[in-house]
Amino acid sequence: MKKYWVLFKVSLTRGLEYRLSNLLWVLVGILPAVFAATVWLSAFAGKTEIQGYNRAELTTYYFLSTLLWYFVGGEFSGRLSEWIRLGVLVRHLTKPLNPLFEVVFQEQAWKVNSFFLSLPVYFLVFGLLRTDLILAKLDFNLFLFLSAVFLSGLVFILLEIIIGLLSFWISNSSNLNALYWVIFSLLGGILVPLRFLPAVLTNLSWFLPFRYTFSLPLELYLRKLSGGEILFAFLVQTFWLVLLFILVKSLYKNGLRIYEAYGQ
Amino acid sequence: MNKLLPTLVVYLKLNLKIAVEYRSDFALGFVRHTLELVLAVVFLKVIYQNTQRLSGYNENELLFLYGTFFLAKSFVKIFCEHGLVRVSRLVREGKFDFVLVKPVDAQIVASFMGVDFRDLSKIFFGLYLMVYSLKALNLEVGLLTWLTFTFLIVLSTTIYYSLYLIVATFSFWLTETRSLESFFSELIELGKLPRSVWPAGARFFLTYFLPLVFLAAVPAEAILRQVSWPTVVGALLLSLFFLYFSRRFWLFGLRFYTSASS
Repeated sequence: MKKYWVLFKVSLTRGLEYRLSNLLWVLVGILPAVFAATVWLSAFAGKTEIQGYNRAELTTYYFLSTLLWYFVGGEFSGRLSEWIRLGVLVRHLTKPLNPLFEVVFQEQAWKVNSFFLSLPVYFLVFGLLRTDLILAKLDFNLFLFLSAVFLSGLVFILLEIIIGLLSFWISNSSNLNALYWVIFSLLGGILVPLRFLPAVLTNLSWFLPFRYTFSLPLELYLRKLSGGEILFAFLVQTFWLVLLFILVKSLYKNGLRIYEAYGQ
Repeated sequence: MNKLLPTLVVYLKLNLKIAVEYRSDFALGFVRHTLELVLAVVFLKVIYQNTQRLSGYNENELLFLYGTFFLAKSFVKIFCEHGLVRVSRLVREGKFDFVLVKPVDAQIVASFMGVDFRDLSKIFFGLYLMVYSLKALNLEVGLLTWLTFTFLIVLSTTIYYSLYLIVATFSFWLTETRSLESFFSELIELGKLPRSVWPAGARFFLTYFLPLVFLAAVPAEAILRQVSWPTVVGALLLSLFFLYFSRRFWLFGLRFYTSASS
């Protein structure tokens, strides 16, 4: 684990080289939420509640979803896909490190960098929206929320790694990645809270892995789930964690077998 | 300027060959771009399940605005965006020399070297949304209104192109512009909302400093509401200003190209 910690620190230092770029990425992450929040707040004209969400809850939903990006989200698949596609993976295979862990630790370092860089922006947004934001209370729900954030982060990483590993078979996976992102935005609760979708999609989302990335922590934070639903959600999330882990191992093993490392 | 059309034809042919060579990638890309547009409309549908009007716009009116936005964006997306995005990489690798030595203005080459046909989906989808929503609205639109709309779309395309050129010009100073381009792409998306959705300060900024309201909101208003002649003249002046400024900025940026590593 020590070597990965060293890798993390090196990546953290490297990330500091591109401060302006990182700051712009922070804004890239915030803008879609600004867009969605602007539209929803307009839709609230004369209403106190939409689909069980009041104005403060919806504002908090979008504000927190952008903040959660640094704890749950990331861009793991692009890096891995590029390593595979350009044959760079070979160089990483010769190191005494697991390339998949390398990708994860490098991205986590980038996220830590970006998170600290984003704090002034978030403080500013927080200041502007403070009357419309719901603050967490120090109770069991907060513990559930933090647990969900941790597990959701793992589900997200595994999903991203799977998309990246598909580059062993599909030379240009950028389109596939974008297709995945469209589905993920819809069923992961990025676009709108899942309760806002047609019933058939909302029901389906309980059984797919996407809900257990962004939506679950957000729903827990806003106390939108009953006791039974929370238990069911954690059970399904654990099921997906195990399944996705097995899938990652299998794809990586089989991918390496057929890997030809073009151009290296 | 007389080399613009032949250059465009050459790059059209070249990029068409590339698109045909990677057919499955092209098809997947086309589906992907269409799905991204569908996702935007799904968002809209979800909103209108919960409200009748959004800043004075009903669902079909906003669908028309979305259609206008996709259409206005599509021309720059298809013909210029991929080339301009490539400028950053060429500068970083010192390969921009190959653009400079061509017997055509570097801005023309940079603007048209990366035609991407996958974005044709935006034209089809944009037109579909416009026709669908106009039918649903049961609006009768006169010839003069259509001409005004077309003129405003040309101006909107000019503004969008100029803004993209300004972003691409930063490649001469910054080593990494992917974040800037992504930021710009996300910012542009704000242009598919009606003007009335913005608070007064933001509306002023989005009209005069970063004229995103002219991308789709103003052209769509020509059909859905009424656009005054001063607004049309204002759009013309703004687009001319941005075209001129982006050209000067591009030429200024070119002076800083040092052909690193080549």
